Amino acid sequence: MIFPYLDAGTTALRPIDPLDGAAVDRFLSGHGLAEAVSRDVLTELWASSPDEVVAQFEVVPRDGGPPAGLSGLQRLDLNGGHVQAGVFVDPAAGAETGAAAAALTVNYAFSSWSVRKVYVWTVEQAVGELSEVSGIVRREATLREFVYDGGELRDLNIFAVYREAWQSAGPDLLQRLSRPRTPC
Amino acid sequence: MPHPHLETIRTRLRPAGEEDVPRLYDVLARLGLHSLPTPSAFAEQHRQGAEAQFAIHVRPSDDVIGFSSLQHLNRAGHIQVGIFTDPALSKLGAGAEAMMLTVNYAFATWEHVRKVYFSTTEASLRDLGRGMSLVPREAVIPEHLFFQGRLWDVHFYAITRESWEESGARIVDRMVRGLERRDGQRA
Repeated sequence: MIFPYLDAGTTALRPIDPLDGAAVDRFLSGHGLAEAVSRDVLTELWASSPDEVVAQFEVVPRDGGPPAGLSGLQRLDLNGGHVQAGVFVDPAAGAETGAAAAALTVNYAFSSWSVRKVYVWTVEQAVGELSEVSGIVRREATLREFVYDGGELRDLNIFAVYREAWQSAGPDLLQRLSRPRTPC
Repeated sequence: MPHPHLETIRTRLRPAGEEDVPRLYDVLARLGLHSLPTPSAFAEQHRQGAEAQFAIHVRPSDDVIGFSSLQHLNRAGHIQVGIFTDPALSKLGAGAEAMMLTVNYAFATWEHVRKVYFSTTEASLRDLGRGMSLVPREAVIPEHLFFQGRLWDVHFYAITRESWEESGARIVDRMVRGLERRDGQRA
Protein backbone atom coordinates (compact mmCIF):
# COMPACT_ATOMS: atom_id res chain seq x y z
CA MET A 1 0.00 0.00 0.00
CA ILE A 2 1.14 3.55 -0.72
CA PHE A 3 -0.62 6.22 1.31
CA PRO A 4 -1.05 9.67 -0.34
CA TYR A 5 0.77 11.67 2.35
CA LEU A 6 0.55 15.42 2.01
CA ASP A 7 3.22 16.42 4.51
CA ALA A 8 6.74 15.41 5.42
CA GLY A 9 8.84 17.16 8.06
CA THR A 10 8.21 20.88 7.94
CA THR A 11 6.76 20.83 4.39
CA ALA A 12 3.19 20.24 3.25
CA LEU A 13 1.40 20.05 -0.10
CA ARG A 14 -1.88 21.97 -0.30
CA PRO A 15 -4.12 20.79 -3.18
CA ILE A 16 -5.28 23.58 -5.49
CA ASP A 17 -7.00 23.75 -8.86
CA PRO A 18 -4.83 22.92 -11.91
CA LEU A 19 -2.64 25.63 -13.44
CA ASP A 20 -1.17 25.76 -16.92
CA GLY A 21 2.42 26.88 -17.49
CA ALA A 22 1.53 30.57 -17.79
CA ALA A 23 -0.49 30.45 -14.55
CA VAL A 24 2.34 28.64 -12.73
CA ASP A 25 4.67 31.41 -13.87
CA ARG A 26 2.24 34.11 -12.65
CA PHE A 27 1.85 32.35 -9.29
CA LEU A 28 5.60 32.01 -8.75
CA SER A 29 6.36 35.58 -9.88
CA GLY A 30 3.51 36.94 -7.76
CA HIS A 31 4.93 35.26 -4.65
CA GLY A 32 8.53 36.31 -5.32
CA LEU A 33 9.48 32.70 -6.20
CA ALA A 34 10.61 33.24 -9.79
CA GLU A 35 13.97 31.58 -9.01
CA ALA A 36 12.14 28.24 -8.79
CA VAL A 37 12.12 27.72 -12.57
CA SER A 38 12.63 29.87 -15.64
CA ARG A 39 9.60 31.13 -17.56
CA ASP A 40 10.97 29.66 -20.80
CA VAL A 41 11.35 26.19 -19.29
CA LEU A 42 7.85 26.35 -17.85
CA THR A 43 6.41 27.37 -21.21
CA GLU A 44 8.13 24.45 -22.90
CA LEU A 45 7.68 21.69 -20.37
CA TRP A 46 4.57 22.42 -18.32
CA ALA A 47 0.97 22.11 -19.52
CA SER A 48 -0.36 24.53 -22.11
CA SER A 49 -3.87 23.88 -20.75
CA PRO A 50 -4.99 23.13 -17.17
CA ASP A 51 -6.88 20.13 -18.63
CA GLU A 52 -3.52 18.35 -18.91
CA VAL A 53 -2.91 18.69 -15.14
CA VAL A 54 -4.32 15.96 -12.89
CA ALA A 55 -3.06 17.26 -9.53
CA GLN A 56 -1.65 20.61 -8.45
CA PHE A 57 -0.23 21.59 -5.07
CA GLU A 58 1.07 24.66 -3.32
CA VAL A 59 4.23 23.77 -1.43
CA VAL A 60 3.81 25.40 1.98
CA PRO A 61 5.39 25.28 5.44
CA ARG A 62 3.45 22.75 7.51
CA ASP A 63 2.87 25.23 10.30
CA GLY A 64 1.61 27.98 8.02
CA GLY A 65 3.27 30.80 6.18
CA PRO A 66 3.73 31.85 2.57
CA PRO A 67 4.21 29.22 -0.16
CA ALA A 68 7.69 28.11 -1.17
CA GLY A 69 6.59 26.95 -4.62
CA LEU A 70 4.31 24.63 -6.54
CA SER A 71 4.29 21.01 -7.58
CA GLY A 72 1.99 19.04 -9.82
CA LEU A 73 1.30 16.00 -11.95
CA GLN A 74 0.39 16.25 -15.62
CA ARG A 75 -0.20 14.19 -18.77
CA LEU A 76 -1.53 11.12 -17.02
CA ASP A 77 -1.54 8.21 -19.46
CA LEU A 78 -3.25 5.24 -17.86
CA ASN A 79 -2.76 3.19 -21.03
CA GLY A 80 0.98 3.78 -21.10
CA GLY A 81 1.07 3.67 -17.29
CA HIS A 82 2.85 6.95 -16.64
CA VAL A 83 2.39 10.50 -15.42
CA GLN A 84 4.77 13.45 -15.31
CA ALA A 85 5.76 15.29 -12.12
CA GLY A 86 6.85 18.91 -11.88
CA VAL A 87 8.36 20.46 -8.76
CA PHE A 88 9.03 24.21 -8.74
CA VAL A 89 10.37 25.24 -5.34
CA ASP A 90 12.37 28.40 -4.65
CA PRO A 91 15.94 27.35 -3.80
CA ALA A 92 15.86 29.94 -0.97
CA ALA A 93 13.37 27.66 0.82
CA GLY A 94 16.16 25.11 1.29
CA ALA A 95 17.01 21.76 -0.24
CA GLU A 96 14.92 19.94 2.36
CA THR A 97 11.72 21.68 1.22
CA GLY A 98 12.37 20.79 -2.43
CA ALA A 99 13.18 17.19 -1.47
CA ALA A 100 10.00 16.83 0.60
CA ALA A 101 7.85 18.38 -2.15
CA ALA A 102 9.32 16.05 -4.79
CA ALA A 103 9.00 12.92 -2.63
CA LEU A 104 5.41 13.73 -1.66
CA THR A 105 4.43 14.49 -5.27
CA VAL A 106 5.93 11.27 -6.67
CA ASN A 107 4.41 9.31 -3.79
CA TYR A 108 1.01 10.89 -4.46
CA ALA A 109 1.20 9.77 -8.10
CA PHE A 110 1.94 6.13 -7.28
CA SER A 111 -0.72 6.19 -4.57
CA SER A 112 -3.44 7.72 -6.76
CA TRP A 113 -3.12 6.06 -10.15
CA SER A 114 -2.20 2.71 -11.58
CA VAL A 115 1.00 3.97 -13.20
CA ARG A 116 4.26 2.06 -13.67
CA LYS A 117 6.48 5.11 -13.77
CA VAL A 118 6.56 8.79 -12.88
CA TYR A 119 8.50 10.97 -15.29
CA VAL A 120 10.43 14.12 -14.49
CA TRP A 121 11.26 16.17 -17.59
CA THR A 122 13.99 18.69 -16.86
CA VAL A 123 16.78 20.72 -18.44
CA GLU A 124 19.00 19.87 -15.46
CA GLN A 125 21.48 17.01 -15.53
CA ALA A 126 19.86 15.32 -12.53
CA VAL A 127 16.69 15.53 -10.46
CA GLY A 128 18.30 17.44 -7.59
CA GLU A 129 15.20 17.22 -5.40
CA LEU A 130 15.44 13.41 -5.45
CA SER A 131 19.22 13.27 -4.90
CA GLU A 132 18.77 11.29 -1.65
CA VAL A 133 17.37 8.43 -3.75
CA SER A 134 19.30 9.11 -6.95
CA GLY A 135 19.83 5.36 -7.37
CA ILE A 136 16.18 4.86 -8.26
CA VAL A 137 15.96 7.82 -10.65
CA ARG A 138 16.61 6.43 -14.13
CA ARG A 139 17.64 8.65 -17.05
CA GLU A 140 15.47 7.32 -19.87
CA ALA A 141 16.20 9.68 -22.76
CA THR A 142 17.86 12.94 -23.75
CA LEU A 143 16.68 15.15 -26.59
CA ARG A 144 19.52 17.44 -27.54
CA GLU A 145 19.12 21.24 -27.64
CA PHE A 146 15.39 20.77 -27.23
CA VAL A 147 14.45 23.63 -24.91
CA TYR A 148 14.90 27.35 -25.50
CA ASP A 149 15.87 28.95 -22.18
CA GLY A 150 16.89 32.59 -22.00
CA GLY A 151 18.63 32.61 -25.37
CA GLU A 152 20.30 29.24 -24.84
CA LEU A 153 19.38 25.83 -26.19
CA ARG A 154 19.34 23.21 -23.45
CA ASP A 155 19.00 19.44 -23.55
CA LEU A 156 15.77 17.91 -22.31
CA ASN A 157 16.50 15.06 -19.92
CA ILE A 158 13.68 12.60 -19.29
CA PHE A 159 14.04 10.80 -15.96
CA ALA A 160 11.73 8.14 -14.56
CA VAL A 161 11.06 6.56 -11.17
CA TYR A 162 9.48 3.11 -11.38
CA ARG A 163 6.83 1.86 -8.97
CA GLU A 164 8.85 -1.13 -7.69
CA ALA A 165 11.81 1.11 -6.92
CA TRP A 166 9.59 3.66 -5.19
CA GLN A 167 7.89 0.98 -3.11
CA SER A 168 11.26 -0.09 -1.76
CA ALA A 169 12.87 3.35 -1.29
CA GLY A 170 9.97 5.83 -1.01
CA PRO A 171 8.67 5.01 2.48
CA ASP A 172 12.19 5.25 4.00
CA LEU A 173 12.78 8.55 2.22
CA LEU A 174 9.51 10.03 3.49
CA GLN A 175 10.32 8.81 6.98
CA ARG A 176 13.80 10.38 6.87
CA LEU A 177 12.35 13.66 5.61
CA SER A 178 9.78 13.59 8.42
CA ARG A 179 12.34 13.23 11.23
CA PRO A 180 13.00 16.45 13.12
CA ARG A 181 16.41 17.79 12.11
CA THR A 182 18.81 18.44 14.94
CA PRO A 183 20.46 21.84 14.66
CA CYS A 184 24.21 21.71 13.89
CA MET B 1 16.47 27.44 -48.34
CA PRO B 2 14.53 24.55 -49.87
CA HIS B 3 11.38 25.32 -51.86
CA PRO B 4 8.05 24.18 -50.30
CA HIS B 5 7.12 21.72 -53.07
CA LEU B 6 3.80 19.94 -52.63
CA GLU B 7 3.81 17.51 -55.54
CA THR B 8 5.92 15.05 -57.46
CA ILE B 9 5.14 12.93 -60.49
CA ARG B 10 3.25 10.38 -58.38
CA THR B 11 2.35 12.10 -55.09
CA ARG B 12 0.46 15.28 -54.20
CA LEU B 13 -0.01 16.94 -50.82
CA ARG B 14 -3.19 18.97 -50.31
CA PRO B 15 -3.85 21.08 -47.20
CA ALA B 16 -6.31 19.01 -45.15
CA GLY B 17 -9.41 20.49 -43.56
CA GLU B 18 -12.08 19.54 -41.06
CA GLU B 19 -13.91 17.57 -43.76
CA ASP B 20 -10.93 15.15 -43.88
CA VAL B 21 -11.10 14.23 -40.17
CA PRO B 22 -13.41 11.18 -40.60
CA ARG B 23 -11.07 9.79 -43.29
CA LEU B 24 -8.02 10.40 -41.06
CA TYR B 25 -9.79 8.58 -38.21
CA ASP B 26 -10.51 5.69 -40.56
CA VAL B 27 -6.86 5.48 -41.68
CA LEU B 28 -5.65 5.48 -38.06
CA ALA B 29 -8.21 2.83 -37.09
CA ARG B 30 -7.08 0.58 -39.96
CA LEU B 31 -3.42 1.06 -39.06
CA GLY B 32 -4.04 0.10 -35.42
CA LEU B 33 -1.12 2.23 -34.29
CA HIS B 34 -3.09 4.18 -31.70
CA SER B 35 -5.59 3.43 -29.01
CA LEU B 36 -8.08 5.87 -30.47
CA PRO B 37 -10.60 8.00 -28.58
CA THR B 38 -14.18 8.11 -29.88
CA PRO B 39 -14.65 9.82 -33.28
CA SER B 40 -16.12 12.97 -31.73
CA ALA B 41 -13.35 13.21 -29.09
CA PHE B 42 -10.81 12.70 -31.87
CA ALA B 43 -12.41 15.48 -33.95
CA GLU B 44 -12.28 17.78 -30.93
CA GLN B 45 -8.58 17.02 -30.35
CA HIS B 46 -7.96 17.57 -34.03
CA ARG B 47 -9.47 21.05 -33.83
CA GLN B 48 -6.69 22.01 -31.42
CA GLY B 49 -4.57 21.92 -34.49
CA ALA B 50 -1.25 21.35 -36.13
CA GLU B 51 1.05 23.82 -37.87
CA ALA B 52 0.26 22.11 -41.18
CA GLN B 53 -1.75 19.06 -42.17
CA PHE B 54 -1.90 17.45 -45.59
CA ALA B 55 -3.99 14.82 -47.34
CA ILE B 56 -1.74 12.57 -49.44
CA HIS B 57 -3.03 11.89 -52.96
CA VAL B 58 -1.47 9.39 -55.36
CA ARG B 59 -1.41 9.86 -59.09
CA PRO B 60 -2.88 9.11 -61.51
CA SER B 61 -6.04 8.14 -59.56
CA ASP B 62 -5.72 11.11 -57.16
CA ASP B 63 -7.03 8.84 -54.37
CA VAL B 64 -6.28 9.88 -50.79
CA ILE B 65 -3.98 7.26 -49.27
CA GLY B 66 -3.26 8.99 -45.97
CA PHE B 67 -2.26 12.12 -44.13
CA SER B 68 0.88 13.89 -42.97
CA SER B 69 1.27 16.68 -40.44
CA LEU B 70 3.72 19.09 -38.86
CA GLN B 71 3.14 20.00 -35.25
CA HIS B 72 4.69 21.35 -32.05
CA LEU B 73 6.66 24.10 -33.75
CA ASN B 74 9.00 25.32 -31.09
CA ARG B 75 11.13 28.34 -30.22
CA ALA B 76 14.10 26.02 -29.85
CA GLY B 77 13.86 25.48 -33.61
CA HIS B 78 12.25 22.08 -33.95
CA ILE B 79 8.99 20.65 -35.20
CA GLN B 80 7.50 17.16 -35.32
CA VAL B 81 6.44 15.39 -38.50
CA GLY B 82 3.85 12.61 -38.56
CA ILE B 83 2.60 10.45 -41.41
CA PHE B 84 -0.16 7.84 -41.60
CA THR B 85 -1.03 5.99 -44.78
CA ASP B 86 -3.70 3.37 -45.41
CA PRO B 87 -1.83 0.07 -45.79
CA ALA B 88 -4.41 -1.22 -48.28
CA LEU B 89 -3.97 1.77 -50.60
CA SER B 90 -0.34 2.75 -50.25
CA LYS B 91 1.65 2.23 -53.39
CA LEU B 92 5.30 1.43 -53.09
CA GLY B 93 7.22 4.60 -52.33
CA ALA B 94 4.26 7.00 -52.18
CA GLY B 95 4.40 7.22 -48.38
CA ALA B 96 8.15 7.83 -48.46
CA GLU B 97 7.69 10.59 -51.04
CA ALA B 98 4.96 12.20 -48.95
CA MET B 99 7.23 12.05 -45.91
CA MET B 100 10.04 13.75 -47.83
CA LEU B 101 7.73 16.46 -49.17
CA THR B 102 6.43 17.14 -45.64
CA VAL B 103 9.88 17.34 -44.06
CA ASN B 104 11.02 19.55 -46.93
CA TYR B 105 7.96 21.79 -46.39
CA ALA B 106 8.98 22.28 -42.74
CA PHE B 107 12.51 23.41 -43.57
CA ALA B 108 11.24 25.56 -46.45
CA THR B 109 8.47 27.26 -44.47
CA TRP B 110 10.08 28.02 -41.11
CA GLU B 111 13.54 29.48 -41.41
CA HIS B 112 14.32 28.98 -37.71
CA VAL B 113 13.61 25.23 -37.79
CA ARG B 114 16.93 23.43 -37.18
CA LYS B 115 15.53 19.94 -36.72
CA VAL B 116 12.51 17.93 -37.74
CA TYR B 117 11.65 15.18 -35.28
CA PHE B 118 9.91 12.00 -36.17
CA SER B 119 8.74 9.64 -33.44
CA THR B 120 7.68 6.08 -34.05
CA THR B 121 7.59 2.56 -32.63
CA GLU B 122 8.79 -0.82 -33.87
CA ALA B 123 5.22 -1.38 -35.06
CA SER B 124 5.70 0.96 -37.99
CA LEU B 125 9.50 1.18 -38.38
CA ARG B 126 9.49 -1.62 -40.95
CA ASP B 127 6.94 0.22 -43.10
CA LEU B 128 9.02 3.36 -43.34
CA GLY B 129 11.46 1.87 -45.76
CA ARG B 130 15.21 2.08 -46.07
CA GLY B 131 15.22 5.87 -45.95
CA MET B 132 14.65 5.95 -42.20
CA SER B 133 17.70 3.81 -41.53
CA LEU B 134 19.78 6.77 -42.70
CA VAL B 135 18.20 9.19 -40.21
CA PRO B 136 19.99 9.30 -36.86
CA ARG B 137 18.03 8.16 -33.82
CA GLU B 138 18.34 10.67 -31.01
CA ALA B 139 16.48 9.02 -28.15
CA VAL B 140 14.29 6.11 -27.11
CA ILE B 141 11.71 6.26 -24.33
CA PRO B 142 11.12 2.69 -23.17
CA GLU B 143 7.62 1.25 -22.90
CA HIS B 144 5.90 4.60 -23.32
CA LEU B 145 2.92 3.85 -25.57
CA PHE B 146 0.24 1.19 -25.28
CA PHE B 147 -1.62 -0.16 -28.32
CA GLN B 148 -2.20 -3.52 -29.99
CA GLY B 149 -2.38 -4.96 -26.48
CA ARG B 150 1.19 -4.19 -25.44
CA LEU B 151 3.64 -1.46 -24.50
CA TRP B 152 6.00 -0.05 -27.12
CA ASP B 153 9.26 1.90 -26.97
CA VAL B 154 9.06 5.28 -28.69
CA HIS B 155 12.01 6.10 -30.96
CA PHE B 156 12.84 9.74 -31.74
CA TYR B 157 14.63 10.44 -35.00
CA ALA B 158 16.00 13.88 -35.79
CA ILE B 159 16.63 15.25 -39.28
CA THR B 160 18.86 18.34 -39.14
CA ARG B 161 18.58 21.22 -41.59
CA GLU B 162 22.22 20.77 -42.53
CA SER B 163 21.79 17.12 -43.47
CA TRP B 164 18.49 17.85 -45.24
CA GLU B 165 19.95 20.58 -47.40
CA GLU B 166 22.90 18.32 -48.25
CA SER B 167 20.84 15.36 -49.42
CA GLY B 168 17.06 15.27 -48.80
CA ALA B 169 16.25 18.60 -50.45
CA ARG B 170 18.20 17.55 -53.53
CA ILE B 171 16.26 14.30 -53.81
CA VAL B 172 12.99 16.25 -53.52
CA ASP B 173 14.18 18.64 -56.24
CA ARG B 174 14.91 15.64 -58.49
CA MET B 175 11.46 14.15 -57.80
CA VAL B 176 9.84 17.48 -58.69
CA ARG B 177 11.90 17.81 -61.86
CA GLY B 178 10.31 14.53 -62.98
CA LEU B 179 6.92 16.24 -62.72
CA GLU B 180 8.14 19.32 -64.57
CA ARG B 181 9.58 17.16 -67.38
CA ARG B 182 6.28 15.30 -67.73
CA ASP B 183 4.29 18.54 -67.79
CA GLY B 184 6.78 20.01 -70.28
CA GLN B 185 6.28 17.02 -72.60
CA ARG B 186 2.50 17.39 -72.40
CA ALA B 187 2.60 21.12 -73.18
